[in-house]
Amino acid sequence: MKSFTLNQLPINQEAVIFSLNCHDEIRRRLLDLGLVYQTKITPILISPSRWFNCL
Amino acid sequence: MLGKVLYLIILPVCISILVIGHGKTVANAFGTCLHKSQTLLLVDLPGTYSLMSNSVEEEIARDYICFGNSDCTIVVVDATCLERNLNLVFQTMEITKQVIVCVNLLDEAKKKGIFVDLKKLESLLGVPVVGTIARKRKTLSKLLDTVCDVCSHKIRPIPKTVIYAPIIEDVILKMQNVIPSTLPIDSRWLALRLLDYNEKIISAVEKHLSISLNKDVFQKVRLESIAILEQNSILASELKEKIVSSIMFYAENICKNVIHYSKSNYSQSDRRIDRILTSKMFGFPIMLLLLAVVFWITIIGANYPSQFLSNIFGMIEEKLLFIFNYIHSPSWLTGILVSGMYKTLGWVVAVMLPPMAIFFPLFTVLEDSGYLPRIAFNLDNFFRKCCTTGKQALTMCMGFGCNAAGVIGCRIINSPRERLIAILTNTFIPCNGRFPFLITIASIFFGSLFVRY
Repeated sequence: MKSFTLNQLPINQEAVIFSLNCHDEIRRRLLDLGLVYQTKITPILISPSRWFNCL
Repeated sequence: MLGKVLYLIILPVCISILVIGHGKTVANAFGTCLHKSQTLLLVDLPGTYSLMSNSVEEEIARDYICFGNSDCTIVVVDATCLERNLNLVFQTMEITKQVIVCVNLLDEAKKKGIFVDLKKLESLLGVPVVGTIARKRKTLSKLLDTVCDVCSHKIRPIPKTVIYAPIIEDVILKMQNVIPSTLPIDSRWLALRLLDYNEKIISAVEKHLSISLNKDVFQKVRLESIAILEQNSILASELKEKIVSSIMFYAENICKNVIHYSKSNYSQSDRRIDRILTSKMFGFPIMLLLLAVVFWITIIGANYPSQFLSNIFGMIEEKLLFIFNYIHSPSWLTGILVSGMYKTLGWVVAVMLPPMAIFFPLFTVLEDSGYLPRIAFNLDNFFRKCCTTGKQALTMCMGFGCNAAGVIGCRIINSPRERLIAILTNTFIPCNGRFPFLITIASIFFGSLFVRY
């Protein structure tokens, strides 16, 4: 059982949330959406502007 | 008899990382309707995913539900993502008993092969559940029937309470003991919020009920409760997470029993479109192309109505001059009224009205198609590098139409600092009113550089 941060999780790879270590603002948003401990998540899209980080 | 009803739209205004929503209200909108000889006052609350957060729209929604003295609250949920929306339903049921759940977008769900068992949902939640397709009036009248029944107490909803972990229940009880029983709000809900020590809740309660609460007692009990929780290895910061976990657990269980999927890949076509719209190769070009198309249609398309209006105003001006001459009015009066005020008015309307009349409908089409959140999603990272948020992309788009509207739209941004940045930088977006001027100046000073020989 490996643990990743969300940005390390590849697309379409299912995972289970273990903990939320983040900024208060984001944490509140994630809680609102119901993303808590033991919720299954699958990333489906990455913003294209993230790719420009590499430039 | 006037029955007051609250209408809560749960689809949120915007997102920065996940899937889409399209709620549009940010403040309250009112409406009245007549149903079976009863007048109903409906209040449309801001779109929100939950009532626990601190953004402006969520506070407005929560304050209205708690203190608005409504006879009934309708929670509108999306049939295609029921589990996520049940979070809001449970939170609302904690505040008030008079709740009706309206499961909307049933036609969309049917297209995706999602079947929701409304009767079972009703029995599991304990409150009336009505399925609606907002486009079909028949379904809405059934909703109004249920509303009238609940308001007149023919139906008495018994909302299912979410039971938290035993230790959390103990501290809730402790807090409930110090809450004055004369308060008209649900003491269990207030106890939960006080354990979180949300300052804004206390001031909201004091403001709306015009009483002053003994904060020291609450603070004392809260500190004791935190100590108890920490003894049981629950940190104070984890309390909210535990509460949401419990709610989501209930929501998940209910959905397992109530939703049946006939297709396992029901959102495939949506995902395919999304993948193109946000892809590395096509995401930005499509965005720029759409922007270019919208502007091209606005600028070129506005020429014809502008010409037409300008001709009409010109004709009327001639007639006006004739009339003023006829009554031998002094030249300074004619100058002020006709050549000054009327002419300016004619110019402004002829030049500025057509582009606005074209741009705003185009913008509405973009908004209704759900494309705007994809723009925010694409640009989010760039905005974060400027220490602001992807939601600003939406307010900037609005700023193309009208800067004032764009600035008002900035209330969707939660963080005060990011909101300020969005407001201040909105003026750098040329609004429709400035286009004619900017195009003129550009043509005069820069267009001449590209004169064809």
